[in-house]
Amino acid sequence: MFKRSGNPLWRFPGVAPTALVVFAYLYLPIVVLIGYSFNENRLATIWTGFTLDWYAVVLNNPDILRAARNSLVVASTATLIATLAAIFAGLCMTRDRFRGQQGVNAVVALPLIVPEIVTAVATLLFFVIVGIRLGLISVIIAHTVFCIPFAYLPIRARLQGMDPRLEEAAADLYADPWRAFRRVTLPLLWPGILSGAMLSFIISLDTFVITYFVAGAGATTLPVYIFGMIRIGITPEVNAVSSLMLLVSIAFVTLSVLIGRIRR
Amino acid sequence: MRSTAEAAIETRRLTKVFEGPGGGVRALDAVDLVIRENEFFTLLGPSGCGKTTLLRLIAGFEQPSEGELLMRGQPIAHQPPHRRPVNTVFQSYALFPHMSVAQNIGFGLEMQGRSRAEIAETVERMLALVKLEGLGPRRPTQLSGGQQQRVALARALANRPQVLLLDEPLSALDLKLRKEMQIELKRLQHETGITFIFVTHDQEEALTMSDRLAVMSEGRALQVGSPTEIYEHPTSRFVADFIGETNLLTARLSGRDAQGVRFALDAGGELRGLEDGGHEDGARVTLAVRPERAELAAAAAGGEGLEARVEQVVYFGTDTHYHLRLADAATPFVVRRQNRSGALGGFEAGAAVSLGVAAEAVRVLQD
Amino acid sequence: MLARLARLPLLRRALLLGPALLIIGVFMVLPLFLMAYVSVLERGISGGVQWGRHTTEAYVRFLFERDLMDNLVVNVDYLRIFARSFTLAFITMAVSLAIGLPTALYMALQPARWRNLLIFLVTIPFWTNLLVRNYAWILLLRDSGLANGAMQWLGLTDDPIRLLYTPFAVGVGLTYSFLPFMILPIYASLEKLDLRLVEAAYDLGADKRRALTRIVLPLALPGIVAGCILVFIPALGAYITPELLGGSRQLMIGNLIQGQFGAARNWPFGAALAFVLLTIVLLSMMVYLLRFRRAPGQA
Repeated sequence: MFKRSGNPLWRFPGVAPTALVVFAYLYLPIVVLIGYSFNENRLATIWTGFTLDWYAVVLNNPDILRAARNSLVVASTATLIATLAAIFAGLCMTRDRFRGQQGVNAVVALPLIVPEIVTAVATLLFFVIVGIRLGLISVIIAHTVFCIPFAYLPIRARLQGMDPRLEEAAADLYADPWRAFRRVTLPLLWPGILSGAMLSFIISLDTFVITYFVAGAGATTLPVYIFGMIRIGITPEVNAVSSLMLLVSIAFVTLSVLIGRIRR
Repeated sequence: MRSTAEAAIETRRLTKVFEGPGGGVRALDAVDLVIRENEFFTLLGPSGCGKTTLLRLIAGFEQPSEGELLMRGQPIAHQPPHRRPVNTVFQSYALFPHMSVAQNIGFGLEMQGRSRAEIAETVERMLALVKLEGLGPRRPTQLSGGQQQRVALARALANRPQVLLLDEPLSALDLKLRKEMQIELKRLQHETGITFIFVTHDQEEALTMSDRLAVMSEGRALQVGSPTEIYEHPTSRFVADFIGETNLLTARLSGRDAQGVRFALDAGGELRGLEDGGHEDGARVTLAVRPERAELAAAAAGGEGLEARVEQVVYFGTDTHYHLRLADAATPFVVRRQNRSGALGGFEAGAAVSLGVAAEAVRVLQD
Repeated sequence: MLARLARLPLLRRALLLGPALLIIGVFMVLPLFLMAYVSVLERGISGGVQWGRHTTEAYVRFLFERDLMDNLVVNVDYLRIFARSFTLAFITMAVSLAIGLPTALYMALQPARWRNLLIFLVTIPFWTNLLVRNYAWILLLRDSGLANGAMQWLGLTDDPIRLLYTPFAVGVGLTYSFLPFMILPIYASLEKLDLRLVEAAYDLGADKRRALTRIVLPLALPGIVAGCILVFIPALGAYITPELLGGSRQLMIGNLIQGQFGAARNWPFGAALAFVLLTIVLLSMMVYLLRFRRAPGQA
């Protein structure tokens, strides 16, 4: 669409106010939550003063730290495996033509389509029946499954955007397939890989329902821990740790977008 | 029978079929071709004729469906591209955007394991060869189209391949640059002695640059020869029509005598030719006459030439085109006359003229 | 030798696609089939299942219950929960559409620089923790929360109004959770719109309303439909929002399912419910793909 703003022809009544309300709606809770995390008052709603105490409490709580560590371990491992699987699959799907490609797309997209609660139930039943103990490993496995499509999409997009002639040129210039991949494909693909890995990481960090079902004792991740805290009651510590999670997610998304802008 | 060991590239019944819904596409249909060492050889034809497919088969990016592909007598059809002593200049240049110009040019040498010193020296030499000295550290995106094209050329030549493949390398350049590069390429081929296989759809380009060329259509090589042969002696309607402008006349082979072969034109009148194109007496044939090989004179009753009337006169500065209708008032004929004495001495629209075609100028097509 | 092997197209494909397909196949597709199988098993004494004992009890339970004499009596409790879920999901979709469409339109009409920023702003909530975002609504909607505080301060009411643990709260939470899923597809559709078509409409005498309804909306339809599906389906299977904002009275399908694996300990029933939900979702996706996307891969 061309630049038309300012031209009264394109001002539809009610559109701008609605948009304003919507953006306020989207960010109000986030702002309020972060705001309250600095509230000195224990009885959250009335503002009495600015403090970082709640953050200090949170960051010194061994349970929270352990949950955070678990979250990071799960997210890192799941991301690593998922990104590798996504790279291989992406290379195959974009550099080859064969029947059944639609089927592969469908399978890879499956974790995105199936409702989270259904996946959680199915995965739990699978682990119990097959006899896999519920613990950190089970969580990692479950996370890897849905991290794959999130890593796959940016990688595939980046591969499709690459000129296929570049790899032919490399072969033409005496590079065998492995060296062509390492010297030409990989450097150009790298932003896509980073982007996919970061998205996958964030998704894993934020996932609650599936983790809730398949985490055993000692495998609590941060979202599951927060859920437990909320169940017990509203406390400023919950505000603080929730705000932390929010800020981490926002930071990651911003980074991912910025990386996506490089070498467009 | 020429020894095929001399041939830089030889194809024997080379065929390529692309699978697709509703039957495949025969991009190449049993092509037999011999390309000699140190030749500037052109594959010429409209889009879809198979010339690019043939190039890609030689480079190794596609596998043939049937037939053989030989290089200096050795079959190479199943060698992967990185093992063939062949380099390609791509239509879109395909320069590695994340490497500098120097790294691009040196890439092939790097892959072959040459020493750093040797690579650096060769890169410098190549930059000088294509007149891009000093641009080594730049990135391809910082260069103009013409400069990128020359980098692509240098990158390929740096490896001293046995055969250099060029896939319509000049199509993205503007006219002036194109003409310059045509001369450049010709010079480079001469200097390096490498066999160039050049793909284009521009027949003028093909005629000016090639030692020999192959005119292709619908997956087949219709005629192979030097530019002169192709232009002067086209063997089929397609070739006659594709290369330059031609007048095509349908006729019947009416007889032979000491002075040559006689043809009775459908449009009325008679022409003499020196060849029969392989046809029998009484056969229906198509004759081809180049517009610049025909003569115009004022109409004279009982004269030797064909009767015709000028329908339109188009002035081109260097020459004038006369669009005629022959005696049947229907068949068109174009005569091109150089404006030797300026615009004087021409004919006007509506004038009756006498059209003369020497026997040497009459081509009998084989189809 | 590996290189030579790697050139065999079939083997190459198998090796490259293998990891992703195996992981998803073994740890997702297989479990789904397993879940379907569990739904026709008999319930174990203290949770779990009894292998080898098959029954359709779970599905029967959905609609009926057995009275003291073991006769089947219609039980609408579960149906009610399903109905509530569908209604809430539908309302969520409708509200999202009503406020999302103008927002997307606004975004599409901005100059490029602003547009990227707006897209970024809409995308961020999408990537943050759903649990945390819904928790924030608890802060806002509870009796001592911001909403009540504001209303009391404005003098609209003296006593706090019960906002939390109502269908209203769940609706607000669901809409909040999935609004970006409505805005982004519609925006994508609108962005591809050629404004000159609208100018042509103006030129031919259409007023703004007509231009909107006859040109803009029909051309944005693919995005609208996509957005509706992307909101409806997750809303239908939502767990977090009804759990946090609905309390024990506003059960949706998700909570019902979770309960079977928690306190109620009826795994086959839980599996059956999940299977029914899955079927509904898959059928909707198939209808969508067949009707609205002529060839896969076309937007």
